[in-house]
Amino acid sequence: MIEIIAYILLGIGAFCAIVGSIGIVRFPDVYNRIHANTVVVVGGAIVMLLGASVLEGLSSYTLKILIIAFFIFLTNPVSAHAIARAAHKSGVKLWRRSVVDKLEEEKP
Amino acid sequence: MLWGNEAIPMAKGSLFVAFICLWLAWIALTGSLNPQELGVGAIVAAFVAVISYKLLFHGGMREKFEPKRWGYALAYVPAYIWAELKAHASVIYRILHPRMPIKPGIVRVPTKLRSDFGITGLANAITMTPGTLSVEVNEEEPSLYVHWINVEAVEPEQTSRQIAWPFERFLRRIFR
Repeated sequence: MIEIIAYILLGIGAFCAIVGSIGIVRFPDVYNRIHANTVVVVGGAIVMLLGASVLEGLSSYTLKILIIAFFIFLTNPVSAHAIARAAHKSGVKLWRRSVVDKLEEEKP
Repeated sequence: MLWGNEAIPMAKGSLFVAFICLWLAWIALTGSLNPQELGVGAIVAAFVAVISYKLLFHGGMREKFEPKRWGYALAYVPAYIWAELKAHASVIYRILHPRMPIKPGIVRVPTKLRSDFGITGLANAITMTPGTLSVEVNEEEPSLYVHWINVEAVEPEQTSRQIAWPFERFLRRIFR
């Protein structure tokens, strides 16, 4: 039973990693690609780590896996935000069919 | 004084509590009770506690352990997972759809949160859900500039309700 749950989590993780990678290729600009990247990291990496920790059962490895997941959880949004902010500051244009850019209009 | 506001009185035992927390983390990570491991862990934990306890505990101990805040923090977890699931489903749908139905843009999302931790938590939560990505913070009139993969509204009240509210309603109670 535990194993089935673990394999389901690992399967979801693998699916998200593949779909997210396809998204990184398909999406048109850097900002949209970061959305696909988030799918890879949260749906792929973190769910896979959770699956691995379920498979491992209660041991000190589980704790380490969960701490790795927690650190990915803490650091990914910071790096994603930094990349997006740097891209916008250095003048990377949004995709030509984007609807609105409030940040460009009302620069704080 | 390395960090922290001197005007805020530090709780008496905060250095000790920080040390104990760090040492327990060390013991949990090494997973052994070998005296050598424990000794090195104590030294490292003491060092880290001395330089960082002001960051962990400024503002006193009592409000850190207020049960109501921890209750909201616990209630935040399932709400967060639900938001993640919905966001993943929507972005995966957009990736796999042959015509790629995206309508991206950057919108302004005003927030009622004022504390640094609250705004950081909100920005992180927004970035962690696929489909929304915080690009910039406006500190004068607290709001985030968010890249949204499918812009449904541009008016600040609408964006705030759709993007920020699912997280904000917990964060404003957790971090005040």
